Amino acid sequence: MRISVCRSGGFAGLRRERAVDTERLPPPEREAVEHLVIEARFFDLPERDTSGLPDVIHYRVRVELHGRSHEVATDERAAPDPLVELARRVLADAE
Amino acid sequence: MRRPARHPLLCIVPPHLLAHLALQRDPRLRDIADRALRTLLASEQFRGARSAVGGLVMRGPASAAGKQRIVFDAAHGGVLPGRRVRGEGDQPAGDPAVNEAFDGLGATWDLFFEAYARNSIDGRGARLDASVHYRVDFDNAFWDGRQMVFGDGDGVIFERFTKSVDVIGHELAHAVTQHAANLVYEGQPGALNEHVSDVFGSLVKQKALGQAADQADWLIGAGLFAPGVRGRALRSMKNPGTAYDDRRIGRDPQPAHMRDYVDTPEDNGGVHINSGIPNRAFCLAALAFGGPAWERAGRVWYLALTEALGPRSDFEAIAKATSEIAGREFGRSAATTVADAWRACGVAPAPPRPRPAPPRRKGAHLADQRVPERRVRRATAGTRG
Repeated sequence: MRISVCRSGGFAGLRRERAVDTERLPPPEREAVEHLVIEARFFDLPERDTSGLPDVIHYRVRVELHGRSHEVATDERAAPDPLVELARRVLADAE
Repeated sequence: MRRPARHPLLCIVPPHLLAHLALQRDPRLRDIADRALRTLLASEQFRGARSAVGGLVMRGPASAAGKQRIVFDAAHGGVLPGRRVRGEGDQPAGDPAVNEAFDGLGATWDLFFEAYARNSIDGRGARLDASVHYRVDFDNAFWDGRQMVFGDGDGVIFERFTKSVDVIGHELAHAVTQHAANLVYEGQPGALNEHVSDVFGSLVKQKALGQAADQADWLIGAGLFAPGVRGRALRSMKNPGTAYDDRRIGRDPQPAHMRDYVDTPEDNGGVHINSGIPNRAFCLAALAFGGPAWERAGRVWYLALTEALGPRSDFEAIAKATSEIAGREFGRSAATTVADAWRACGVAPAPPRPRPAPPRRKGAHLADQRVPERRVRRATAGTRG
């Protein structure tokens, strides 16, 4: 499973981007990340769902799995918690 | 309720001073305070000031005491608002984040009331709520439509977001905008929404420090970066694009001129990026006026936000509105000062006239007058170069 995350906005307006192939992650991390994709029901999420609130952090998340792909543009107030957690986790090692 | 009772002295007193007098708690000043309040209510001239005290009257004499604040502790969770930890009249807490939030709410309330006679974010005395310690390592602060929310930062890039008083002013200004122009948070109106929040955020800090325009640092979010990050702040209103340049977070992407406007699908169309252009215009106007920035430039921008702008207003609309309001409030030369500030950033205060106007400005500005027609929007997102 390939997961790409781009973060933008927030009060700071900082942009951060990272993509991971979950196959290359340590097994516990791989399991946690893939579980979040399932928990968020990622492939059922609308392509765009934003709160319109000022200064919230925006995420663009793309997941590719077995030739299937889906991309979601959302923010930390509109997205389901597992998706926010997924985005934060993928980006956590970007620094 | 309107009475013709106007004290001769109070008639010529500006509304922000009247508002200040109306809030005096000293019993010896009670008579003056009452008259100030009545004068404000009777005045047809200052619509904003009248709505500002409307809330005071409705809530009765007790709430004439002024600001109402509550700080909550989200205890590192995502549920808002969390546990109440400090309210009006309470002793300071043992937690610096709580006290910084509380004081920042107060400093913001003070700016809007004392400088613009606005009673809280809605002009009707709304209570100011804030939650600190939101989630874990949370690198953000935001206004959720009802209250302010602060993260503690991750400790690597960011410190806690209450450390910078202009952040608190910025977030509450979003609430003021919500109750006033209600600029949509997308594209140019979104960048103006951000801009207005940076303006009043910076003014909260400048007023709290008693700084004149030329003494202010014009930085947004100074003190938020953790040690080791190469940057002074998140944004510079005076020199957009120069606030930080760091290996981990990149370089400040803000443009200072319309020719560098960034067109991007991210960040709601670059609302935190393109706000650099109007930010610089405000700073230039404030520096040209001289003295405390909240008195002239701030007043002009406040009136534009509350009287002239609407949800879809763009850069040209605010340039036009602020130039006209400056002329109305402070005379023709003030209108020129504001129009020149916008032109220096490549924004024309009004649509081009149908007939060629004789050159009235100094030569240095002539070239800039044509800039909006050859505006170039970048296709690349996020960063420069």
